[in-house]
Amino acid sequence: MRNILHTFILTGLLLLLAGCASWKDARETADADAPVFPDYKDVTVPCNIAPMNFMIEGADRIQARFTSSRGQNVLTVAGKDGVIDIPLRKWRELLASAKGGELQVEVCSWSDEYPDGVSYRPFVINVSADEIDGWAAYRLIEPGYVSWRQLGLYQRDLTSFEESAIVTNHSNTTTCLNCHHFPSYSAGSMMFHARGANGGTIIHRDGKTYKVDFGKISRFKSVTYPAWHPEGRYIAFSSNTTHQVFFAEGSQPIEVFDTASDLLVYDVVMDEVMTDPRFLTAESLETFPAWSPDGKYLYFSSYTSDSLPVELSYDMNYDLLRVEFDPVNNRFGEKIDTLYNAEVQGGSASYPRISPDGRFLLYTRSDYGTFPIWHREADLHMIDLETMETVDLGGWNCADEADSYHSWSSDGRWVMFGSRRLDGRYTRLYIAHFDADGKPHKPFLLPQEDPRYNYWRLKSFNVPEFINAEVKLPKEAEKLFRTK
Amino acid sequence: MKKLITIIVYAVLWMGWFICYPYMLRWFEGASFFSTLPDYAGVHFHFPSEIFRYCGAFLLQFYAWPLAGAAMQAALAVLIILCIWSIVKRLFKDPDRLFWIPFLFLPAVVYLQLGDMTLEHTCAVLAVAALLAATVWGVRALSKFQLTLPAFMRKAWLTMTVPALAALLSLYFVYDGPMGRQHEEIARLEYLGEHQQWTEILETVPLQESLTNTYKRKYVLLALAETGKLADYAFRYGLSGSGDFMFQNADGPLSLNFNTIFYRSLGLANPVVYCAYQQSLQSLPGISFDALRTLTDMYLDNRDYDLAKKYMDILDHSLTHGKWVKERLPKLEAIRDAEPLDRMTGEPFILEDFINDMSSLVSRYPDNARYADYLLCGLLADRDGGRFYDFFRFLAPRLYPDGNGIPHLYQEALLLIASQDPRILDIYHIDEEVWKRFTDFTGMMQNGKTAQAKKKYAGTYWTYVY
Repeated sequence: MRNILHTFILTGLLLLLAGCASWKDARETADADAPVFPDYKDVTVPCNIAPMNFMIEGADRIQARFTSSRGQNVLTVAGKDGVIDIPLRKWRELLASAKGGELQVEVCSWSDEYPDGVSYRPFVINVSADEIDGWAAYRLIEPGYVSWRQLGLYQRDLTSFEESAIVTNHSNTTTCLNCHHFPSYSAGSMMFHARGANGGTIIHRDGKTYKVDFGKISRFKSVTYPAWHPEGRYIAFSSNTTHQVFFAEGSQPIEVFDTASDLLVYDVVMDEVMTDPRFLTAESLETFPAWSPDGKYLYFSSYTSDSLPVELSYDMNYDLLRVEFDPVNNRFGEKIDTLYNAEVQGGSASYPRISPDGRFLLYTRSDYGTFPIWHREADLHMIDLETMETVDLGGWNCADEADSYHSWSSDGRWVMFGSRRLDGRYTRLYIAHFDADGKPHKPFLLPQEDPRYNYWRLKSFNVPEFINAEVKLPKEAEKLFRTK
Repeated sequence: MKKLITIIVYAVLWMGWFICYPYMLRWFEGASFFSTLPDYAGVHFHFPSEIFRYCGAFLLQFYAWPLAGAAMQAALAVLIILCIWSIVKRLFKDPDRLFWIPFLFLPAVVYLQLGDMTLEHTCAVLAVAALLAATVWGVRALSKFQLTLPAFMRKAWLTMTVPALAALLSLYFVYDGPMGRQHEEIARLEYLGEHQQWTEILETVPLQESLTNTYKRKYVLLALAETGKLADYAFRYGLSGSGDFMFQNADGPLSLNFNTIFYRSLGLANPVVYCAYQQSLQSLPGISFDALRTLTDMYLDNRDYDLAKKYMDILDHSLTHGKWVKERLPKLEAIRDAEPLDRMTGEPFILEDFINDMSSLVSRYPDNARYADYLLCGLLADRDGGRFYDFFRFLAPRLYPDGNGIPHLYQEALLLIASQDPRILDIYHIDEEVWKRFTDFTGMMQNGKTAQAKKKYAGTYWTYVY
């Protein structure tokens, strides 16, 4: 009995110490970069990000030594199955000591190919002094295809690996939940759409959660892409008539397109809808509204055609426009600026998002259309609104796979976006630093506790948004769209 | 004696399930999904309300082997009976004479199992029975009370007779249960289709069933197309419109798997992915083993290393796919650095309805006889002789370069169309036999012998048109 007890205690101690090991030298040295996944070589990370766990495929044993450039803080981690799992507390200490500097990472691995171990060329992780917002909200859904059974809006603590559901369609699996949005990064207020029987737009604000039926208060049966005004009173929506088609062949399986889309502004206080005849015409399709941080401009994508689109057209190229907005009187101004002219500049622009300082406009450009996540050629692009020059985003984009839905952190130093670069089908989240000098840095894959989780998940990350805290939506929210 | 009776009942049920439903049990596994990955329990299920679904999904993995599936079906039923026996044993005096009582529930349990695709209800009943048994055990530990049943209920002959009758009635339910037979037959066709055993499908489905059963007819038409016989026998097997070739809209769980098989046979990767996802919706977690296996094989064929590996990794986290994954590792390694195949000729075309899809395929791949047969037979089935002839003229120089070897149905159609344009017969060769039959058929029709003509020439295009 005592022997068993001792064995348990010893095993427990070994497990506790497993994460932090002493350094063991590998016999061979490879003059090559460590083949780590995710690729964290030379990335810039926030000083409060979750542990950057990584792996080497095919390795049995792996060890990594993190050395801080400042305090010479050293952390050695060993792992099985080629996976490095960094203890959270020690990682935080390490990041604190490297803040504004860098971490040098030495990696060795043992495998069938290198039974006595091989060490690789060390690489560097830059640790920015810029913190990132603590939480991100996103939808988890299978990548496309008409219907679904299980989907939901989830949130992730970016400083750890904690993920939890905000709301799911568990109580009614035919309901689709989409287009979640928050005013000025505030987790205290939230909106999303519940589609299907008993659906509507669910709004949570000032401690109340309620459903808005736009069919009753406006000419619109439903609304689509939202943008919550920074002052919290208005939500701009596009109202889209959306279609989905499937290609029989080729690398792009799906196309999603609109045959109609208009703009409206919903006043959450008065429960009223404001429209402008300029944005209600059948010939012009306005979509993807986004407010400037001062709330005085509404940016949006727009496609104008001589004829009403009735089917997919490969020349549906969207411009980027903006119109002045008067928040006091809830009115649009006369002047409409064209920021991106698709006819002149080519391609089609989607998802305009303005940096919190109002200076940079980030958008997605694809060859045509309005649903870039299914376009392998879709990339992020940026315009400096002061100079109207294009900002070179360097290595943010993957040339062969879609890079799309993006959002700015509250301080404008980080951009989170979806990319299908790992396999062309499932969207994962990447985070990129955009420093105070307006320089973009190499993006990194959102860290997961086990890096293999990036492959194993059967869901796509959809519509990532930074938020300042954990969303605590009351359970009653699900009752609002539950069918009897 | 009690043990023997239990074992015999178990064995009877086991064999009953195995003999009656080898394919349906396998189908249950295909429509389910279980994984040890954290997302499975964390995202796909809500605990504790879905604990029984989770338990059911765990067990269903093993239904991939019908013998094991049958054993579990029998075991679940017998376990419920044993729980009830545990209650009876502790509640009543002279329990050995009451061993027959739990078996009264056996037919109901088996009947429940027949409609329980996810095992959720069966697991719930088992849990309730176990909980009751534990409660009774606890109560009896505290109190010594016991109930007495009337003497006629304690007759010795009941111990043998009731279990035997219950087992027989249960077997009857197994054999003739709700949706069971039809499900088993379709599941078998599905299995044959997935394994491309086309001849076996044609041998399995009697002609009469193809005429009356739209599900089975689709498999028969697919098998005819795959064996190159569609243009000879389509109408004989009941083709009654282009909608017969596949399901345009989901028509229950059995329909979705067919479309996946259909598109795989056509070599169209995107629709296979689309259908596999739709097929997954049958599964409560929203993904199924069948769909994942289809996606894996499709991506392996398509040389898409990343996605094939993803699905193989996920399947490897079930408890039953180790060998399946291992068998495919060499193929996966072979495509590690390959460029994915994204076959496409010309502009992309959007999936619409059967005729439009086939005409798009025929325009791109005019040398593909299977696409041609689907299109031409579909147009004939839709009684669209004009478009049939337009496409036939386009395809014939490629498929029948010297004007010979034209399938019977097309010859029959050409003879009818030739009544408006006799020059057709100068271009295309009509077999003498077909000519004779046509002359005979028209003669009988002109003489008012319509019924006899239709009977004699059943399965011809002429009979279909008239």
